[in-house]
Amino acid sequence: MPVTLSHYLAVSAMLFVIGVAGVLLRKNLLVVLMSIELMLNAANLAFVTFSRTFGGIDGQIIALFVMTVAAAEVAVGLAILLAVSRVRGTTDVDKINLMKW
Amino acid sequence: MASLVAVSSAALVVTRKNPVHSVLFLIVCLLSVALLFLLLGAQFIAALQVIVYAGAIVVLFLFVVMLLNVKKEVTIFHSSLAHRLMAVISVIVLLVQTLAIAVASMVWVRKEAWMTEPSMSFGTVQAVGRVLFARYLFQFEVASILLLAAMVGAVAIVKKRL
Repeated sequence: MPVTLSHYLAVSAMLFVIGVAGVLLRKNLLVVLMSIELMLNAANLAFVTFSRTFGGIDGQIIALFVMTVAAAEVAVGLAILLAVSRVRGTTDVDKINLMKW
Repeated sequence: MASLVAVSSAALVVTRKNPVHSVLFLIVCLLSVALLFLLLGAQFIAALQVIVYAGAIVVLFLFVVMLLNVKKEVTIFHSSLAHRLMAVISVIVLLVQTLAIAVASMVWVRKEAWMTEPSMSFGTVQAVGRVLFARYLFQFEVASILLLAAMVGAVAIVKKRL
């Protein structure tokens, strides 16, 4: 049985869902950020898979932009994490509920 | 094989108690996804994945882990039971939906594994660069401004007094 589009999409789906599980379940802000990276990676995998399927190069370029956004997001996210942990002394999202109503 | 490594290490990222282990498994996951990119013929994106993700982003994560001096957590998941229950339910629903999409995409898969056979230059730096600097030039410039803004913003947030 040859490896096809569907197999790659299934891997991408599983990676994405694991990322969502991490964001929803973990309480360490650092691991939540890592899970977001996993989700962005899953999206990249789907983009490149479709690029291969339809023979266009555009999917790979979108994947490149996703990487750019991921890098920017990680830089700002970790900066916020550092600032918050400096003020509150924890990275536990259960305890950082200042803005929660 | 690579996808097996990718999925299992991704699961380990989420379930490890020690954040340092999570970061290390994240590297394994990102490298195996890079391998999948190579198998898909996207050499440039695979190289970028190794350099940008496994190189830069993970190092940033490791720096913060060392900087914060995080300890092993006793409980890694949320304390509220209702929160956890809803999270598990939504994760299962999402898994079913996304896998359904993957199964539905089998409709497109005809006799051949792929719709098109890639040309020799598919996914090389030249092929990507030609399109990137012609059709996507404006988006490329916007991305560079985004990176600059993120850099300045990150420094501004972490700095104690401006």
